[in-house]
Amino acid sequence: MDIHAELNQVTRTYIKHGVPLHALHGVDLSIGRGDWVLVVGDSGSGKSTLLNLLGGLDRPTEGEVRFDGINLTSLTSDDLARFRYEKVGFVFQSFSLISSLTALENVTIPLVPYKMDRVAMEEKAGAVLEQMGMIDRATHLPGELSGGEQQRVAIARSLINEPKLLLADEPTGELDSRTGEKILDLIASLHRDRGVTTIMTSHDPKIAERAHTVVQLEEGRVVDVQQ
Amino acid sequence: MLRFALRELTRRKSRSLLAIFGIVVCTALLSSVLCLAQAMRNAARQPFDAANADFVAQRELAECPFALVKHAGTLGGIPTKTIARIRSLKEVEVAAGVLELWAVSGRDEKDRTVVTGIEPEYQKQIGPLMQSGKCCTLTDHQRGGRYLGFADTQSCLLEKPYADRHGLHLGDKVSLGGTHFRVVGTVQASPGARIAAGEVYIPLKEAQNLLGEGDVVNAVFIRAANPESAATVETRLKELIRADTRRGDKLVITSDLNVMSSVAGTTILAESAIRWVAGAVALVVLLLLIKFSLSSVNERLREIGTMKAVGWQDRHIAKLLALEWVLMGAVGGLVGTLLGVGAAWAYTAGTRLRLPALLNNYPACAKTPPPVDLKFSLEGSEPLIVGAFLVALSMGAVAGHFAARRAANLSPAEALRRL
Ligand SMILES: Nc1ncnc2c1ncn2[C@@H]1O[C@H](COP(=O)(O)OP(=O)(O)O)[C@@H](O)[C@H]1O
Ligand SMILES: [Mg+2]
Repeated sequence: MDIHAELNQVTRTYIKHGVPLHALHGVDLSIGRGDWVLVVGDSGSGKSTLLNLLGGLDRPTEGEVRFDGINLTSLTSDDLARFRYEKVGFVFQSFSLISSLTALENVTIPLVPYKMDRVAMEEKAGAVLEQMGMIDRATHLPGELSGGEQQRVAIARSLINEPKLLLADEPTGELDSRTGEKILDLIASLHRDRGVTTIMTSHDPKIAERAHTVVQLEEGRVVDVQQ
Repeated sequence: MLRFALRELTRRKSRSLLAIFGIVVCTALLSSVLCLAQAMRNAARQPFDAANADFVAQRELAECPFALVKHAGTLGGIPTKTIARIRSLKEVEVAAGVLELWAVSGRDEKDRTVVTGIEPEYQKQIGPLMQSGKCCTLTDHQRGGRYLGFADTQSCLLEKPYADRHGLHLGDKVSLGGTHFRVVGTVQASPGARIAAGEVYIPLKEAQNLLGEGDVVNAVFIRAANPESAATVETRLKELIRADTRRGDKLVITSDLNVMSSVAGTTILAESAIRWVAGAVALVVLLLLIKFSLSSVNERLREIGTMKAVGWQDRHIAKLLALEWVLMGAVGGLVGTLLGVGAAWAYTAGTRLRLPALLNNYPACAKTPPPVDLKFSLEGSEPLIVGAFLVALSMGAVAGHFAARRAANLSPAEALRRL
């Protein structure tokens, strides 16, 4: 297998009231290029922590995280930010759109600090919004969009820089089941059409059938990996 | 980035407005206090600048009896030998004495003229005939009007308003305490307070003869050789004049530095108090702004976390926050300075301060309006206004710096966990 991302003996420990809490404990995991991985587990089992480590949003307490052979643990925080900008697309449960910005502007957010020309930026954002079927809502504020629509905008934002890795943390968690289905269809088609390595979490094991690989987490440990 | 910052500010309207309001209050207070102080300084300096003098030394008597000719107001005599001593001080560039008199000039004993005896050899360097470094304008120069000559006797120079009111022209005679003086010229000064300005000017010698108290003057104009020696001059003056005058008289040395305390004593006190208050307010507002900026970062944790997640570096976030706060500082500073300068202007426009009676002795029944109004101006307050604006900007920058530092130090994963 062509390994795209891997965790070697990763432990992420939080100190809570003086007591160490292992959000992840000695996790080994390899993810192949173009895989579609679903991470399942109860709430608090460490799914978000796992995703954050893979996306370079967080650093392990012990062990190492590699992406395309690069040890993320050794990068500076600026390099990590750059890595996220260039390689990773994040989709969150709560959409995380900025409420003062229109859908189109929200999609451009990743590009803003990297000094791209505004017209070029908006053209690019318009193109992704178009693919998400949201171009007619480009000038709407997040507050004027439904949950499903907001999530489409968020997905557009994660795609604007053509990421190699798409990380979706419970992307359907705040959506009703029908809308959730549609979002899953969308992510599935993205994965299929673009070949992006996709890692998604869910506490709902029913989704499992869509994924190539299902990783089961329990109290910070990988208890099962199903191909 | 700028657009983002603006959007953010307009979205959190009440928040931004509150912060801007704080900055406005500070800046308005600061700029108005600074501008007022400057206007006061300008007003205080104006009569001294006009006379080309740094100090005026006088003796004040408790009371003056009525006479056909008498010292103006409550002035007392200073011997002319004192002027010579003052002139010989190395810190003094030039000094000239004047003798201000009130002389009955008509049949009615209430019809008194303010007469200033001047030393003709100094009239173009220092004293009541000066106007911002030059002599007052002669209005009848074309017709042969002139200043007082060194050898003139029984001659006088008139102020234009006095000449007009009495219908006096070149060659006419003016009666002062029974003696007649021939008009040799008429001068016109621009408005503004002038020290020891009379209605009629005569040679010092003749004024002394009229008064009959011997070789005395009752006001000495002094210009220091350079600004640094001004303080020494003042102490030396006190010693000299005290030695040459009777004990128990009140010696008064006035300069632009102390003239205001006798005109508007409370204003000067209040000014320095207000300065402290303005400083304290600025400090308190700054602390509040910092607290405010930190708490606004807390409110936006999720947003900041999102930006970091999609690739913003810490310094990008810091730049955005700093930009927001500097913008607020700029808007607050602009509005604040406008308000402050406006308030200072309105105050000075509506306030009338006059020269202390000692410096311009007009009898209560004077018919010509005396030149006693101090001229306020905001001249020279440009750097203060810029300074107040910069204070506002830096308040924004400081608050923004704290917000930026806080936001930059946030771990993105941590920030995203908070809802
Ligand atoms: N920043 C943090 N501080 C303290 N504890 C944390 C933090 N982040 C996660 N945890 C703890 O780590 C465990 C795993 O969290 P998380 O990865 O969010 O789980 P999941 O996404 O599966 O619900 C939980 O017990 C959570 O309370
Ligand atoms: Mg989670």
